[in-house]
Amino acid sequence: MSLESSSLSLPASPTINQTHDYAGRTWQWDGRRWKQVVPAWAANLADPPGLVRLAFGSINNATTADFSLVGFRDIYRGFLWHLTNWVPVTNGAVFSAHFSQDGITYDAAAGTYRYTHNSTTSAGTSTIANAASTVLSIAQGPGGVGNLINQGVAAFVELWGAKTTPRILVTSYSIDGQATPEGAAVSLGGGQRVAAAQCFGVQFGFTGGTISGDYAFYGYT
Amino acid sequence: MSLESSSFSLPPSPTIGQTYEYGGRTWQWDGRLWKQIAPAWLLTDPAGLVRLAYGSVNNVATLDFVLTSWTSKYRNFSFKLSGLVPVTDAVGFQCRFSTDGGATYNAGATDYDYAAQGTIDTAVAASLGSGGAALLAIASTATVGNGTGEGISASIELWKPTSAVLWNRITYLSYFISSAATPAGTAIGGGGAREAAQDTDAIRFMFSSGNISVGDYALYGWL
Repeated sequence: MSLESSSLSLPASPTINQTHDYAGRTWQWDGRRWKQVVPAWAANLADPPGLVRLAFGSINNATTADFSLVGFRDIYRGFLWHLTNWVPVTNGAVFSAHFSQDGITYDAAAGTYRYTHNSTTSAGTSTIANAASTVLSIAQGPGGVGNLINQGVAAFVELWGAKTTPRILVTSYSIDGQATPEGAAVSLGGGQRVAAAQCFGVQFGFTGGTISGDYAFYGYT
Repeated sequence: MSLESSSFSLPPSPTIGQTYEYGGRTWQWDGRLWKQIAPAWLLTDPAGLVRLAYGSVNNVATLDFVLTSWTSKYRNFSFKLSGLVPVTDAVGFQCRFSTDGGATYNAGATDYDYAAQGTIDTAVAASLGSGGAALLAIASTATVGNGTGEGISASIELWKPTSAVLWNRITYLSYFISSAATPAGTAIGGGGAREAAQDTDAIRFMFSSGNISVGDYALYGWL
């Protein structure tokens, strides 16, 4: 996470390494922008928190939910998202992720990602996989993800190796979009880019339509 | 971090050690500056997850975690292994437990059981399991690739290793790129146990053959 100095009431002429408190966080000027740093009290603790909440909130009818890791990547070695009750506007869409190489734009070209996960329903367990996809699938029951208010998906997503070999590990549960909906649990899943590249951001969304739901974003120290 | 006393409406004549709440933070006067300290809530409501160790490995035979100084304080442990690449191609990934602080690790022929499900990005399901083995498998033998960008990443939980009643156990979720001619992404979720109730105080991760070339790790304790 970073802040452009023009967007907020920040010190006008900061010196390199100068710190500033804003939005409950501590920011440090690196000569070009304000980057978030570990607060002194956390750095000095004998038992530092292993998991720090970085952001939380709700999204309402947004096309995607984008999480830039710029700034965070240098502080946290892994990331965790709790995505609660994400409901698509379009019935039957696939819940998925994209990675970014700059924290701004997200890669969605054909053949960019590979993923695999199981999906267990009342009909049994099936494998959902793709070795050359435009998305990193996180949840898709037999009928995608249902769009009624009590349907949607809840997911637990971890990202490790953002600066080396970015990979996500996933568990999720969704109510699918069939005429007779049923629950679909992903008990194990994972994915990554086909071609090696560092990860500077993660974008969550459905393959069709907008989304609404709650999120919490954590960093592993 | 510190605050000059003139920059805010701070107590005019603080005593050394006096604290003050400002900006959602707790500050303490050290005789010259107001310095930020850990907030009171963190002391009374400590973080539930504490980082205990982290680092990288480079061409080592095993990755050992000695837990002796932590098992009395933390009830469970999480191991986050990122991008562990084997030196040898087509190997399994596994672990063993210790009861003597890592001096030796249990490796009897039927010391462990394990069960896991896997899926491959070529749309193939897989499973692995054993009711009695000399190791606790996390990825099957002859599966993990050693090419650049291959190797394994895993999130592993060790549950209450001091239990004198339950067989000590782990659960895990892992993802790796296989050693197949056309490498495939593989996700495996499962668990396993040491078939004895024992005070486990160290755990060893390793490939079934050869060294760990590179990789990162972090160890967390659950209060």
